[in-house]
Amino acid sequence: MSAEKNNPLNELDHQPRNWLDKIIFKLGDAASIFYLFTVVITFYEIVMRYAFNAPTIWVHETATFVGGILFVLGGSYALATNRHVRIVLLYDSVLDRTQNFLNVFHHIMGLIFTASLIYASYYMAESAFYAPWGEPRLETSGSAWDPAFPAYTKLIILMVFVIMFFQFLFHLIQDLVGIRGRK
Amino acid sequence: MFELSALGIGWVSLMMLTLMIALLITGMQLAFVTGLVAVVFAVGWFGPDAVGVVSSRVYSFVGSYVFLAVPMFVMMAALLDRSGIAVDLFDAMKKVGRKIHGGVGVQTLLVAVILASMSGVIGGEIVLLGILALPQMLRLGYDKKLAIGITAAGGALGTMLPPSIVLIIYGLTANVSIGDLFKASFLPAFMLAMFYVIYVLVYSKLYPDKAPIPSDEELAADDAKNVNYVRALFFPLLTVVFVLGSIYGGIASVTEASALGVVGIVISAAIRKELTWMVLKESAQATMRTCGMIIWIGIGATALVGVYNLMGGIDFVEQLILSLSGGNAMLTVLIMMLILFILGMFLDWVGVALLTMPIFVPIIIGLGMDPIWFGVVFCLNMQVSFLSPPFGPAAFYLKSVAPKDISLGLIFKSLIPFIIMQVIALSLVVAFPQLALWWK
Repeated sequence: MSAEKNNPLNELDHQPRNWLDKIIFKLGDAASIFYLFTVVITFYEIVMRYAFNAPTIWVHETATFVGGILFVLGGSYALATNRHVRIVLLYDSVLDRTQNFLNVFHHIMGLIFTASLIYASYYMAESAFYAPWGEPRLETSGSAWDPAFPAYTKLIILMVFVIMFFQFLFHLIQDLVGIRGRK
Repeated sequence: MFELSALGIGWVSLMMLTLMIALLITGMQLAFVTGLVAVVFAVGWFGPDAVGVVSSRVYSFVGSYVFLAVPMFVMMAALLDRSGIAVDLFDAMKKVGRKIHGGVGVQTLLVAVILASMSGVIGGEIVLLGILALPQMLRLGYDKKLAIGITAAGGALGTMLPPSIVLIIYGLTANVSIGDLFKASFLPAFMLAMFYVIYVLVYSKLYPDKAPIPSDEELAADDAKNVNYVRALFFPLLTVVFVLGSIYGGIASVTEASALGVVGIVISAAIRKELTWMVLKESAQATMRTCGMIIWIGIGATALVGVYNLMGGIDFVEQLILSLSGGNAMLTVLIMMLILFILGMFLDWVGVALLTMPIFVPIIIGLGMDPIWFGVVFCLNMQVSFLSPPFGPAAFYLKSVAPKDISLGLIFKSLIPFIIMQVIALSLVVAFPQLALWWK
């Protein structure tokens, strides 16, 4: 039975469940093109360095920044499409009804996790956008090029945790309604 | 707030482990289990402000340049899956030893090795071989168990031969050169592949009817097929040479080498007239899918280790392991391998690496052993856990493409001889570290 759940080719288990999941699914698919972008600019850097002896100052940091955003976004994407790895040995062998209750439990745990991380990453983002003395300024990488990527990455981490909070909330509501409907 | 620190690190470690296992058993996602446990214990031990440790861990984890090699190698594999390169490779390899018993099995293993040096992920390769090679062997009348074992064990080699994502993640966690890890893992991985080849040949010699030779008509049909060897082999192999050459030669960083690999496969596909926007888009999407999962397991695990370290847990485990082994180097390694094996039964390998290596590697270095060698040992350990029940991912991937009558139980049974060979290879590398470190 667990073979079905782990089956990478079984697309049915990976459909988005509501409008928010659908948006994230679409957005994630569209954003995935930027992985190609990181390949292209990294290749450009190699060519510039070896063929023209003119290494760039922006490729390294841009590729890391773009990759980082995609990594964070990937968590929300995997949640929307139910792709996060789990141990299904017991989960798969219980009754559907029990599985529903387990799902409700997972969503509540997810809500606690994301809520704590919203709190933490809010302060992290705040200090990246405001100096300790309260003046607005963007945290920069401190390199020769010095882009404000750290500030943007921290903001996006905060945003993704907020989105994931609502994903868990909507899943919770959907499953609670499902349990009530069955009674 | 409840003061967990008053209980002492020993009891709290036990509580953490219990909570983690309990949550995992309910089927909760691994990434969120580790993340949540990190949050709960950060708050319980240090107070609410300590959640900041978790968020800053998330930030530093996703901002790592080396990590960018992971999606690029995943994309390389995704592009391979969507091009006909693997099919051509298999057709070209049909010329090798086709008139001896077990020939097709050996061909499959050779294809597996070449594919493994183009991609570093488990899954894709097993699925590919499961679609290409398994039906071929079954059609010829190969013993089911032999055919299944070759396919799954061969496909799992992808994570052992460079460029392997397991080694990249180990290198990141242990803070050692990934290029060195790739150099070190090559010989042990090759040795393991040769064990498989020898096994197939000896088995076929002993039981010729379990590994029949293709009929004359079939051989004639293969000859009639006009394989363009330049197209089939030259560019994919050139890509392998480029990727590994630039890493071994120190010309490019691992991330840059992985970008070269993607470009190489894209060019190979373009020459084969298989490159479409659709292929690129689908490969990018597949990358997004796989990486979202891998990276969030990493995020959760690194958060948990970060919090545990601040609590003084790493020192605690270090003392615990050293007191168990009495400071004996070999015994320490054996205890660690036992822990890896047990964890490998429950957790994904990314989680295993990120949870244990920050604790194990300093102990290994402290005892005067080489962390590069330990990386190869870890990689071999994970090979075993890929094939072992109850969660051996190799078996599940193969099951997803195998004919209906092949059950999971049969797959695991077929893998037993291959697991034994893995354990032999692992013991050899543990007993003779030179196997991994000869180039130093």
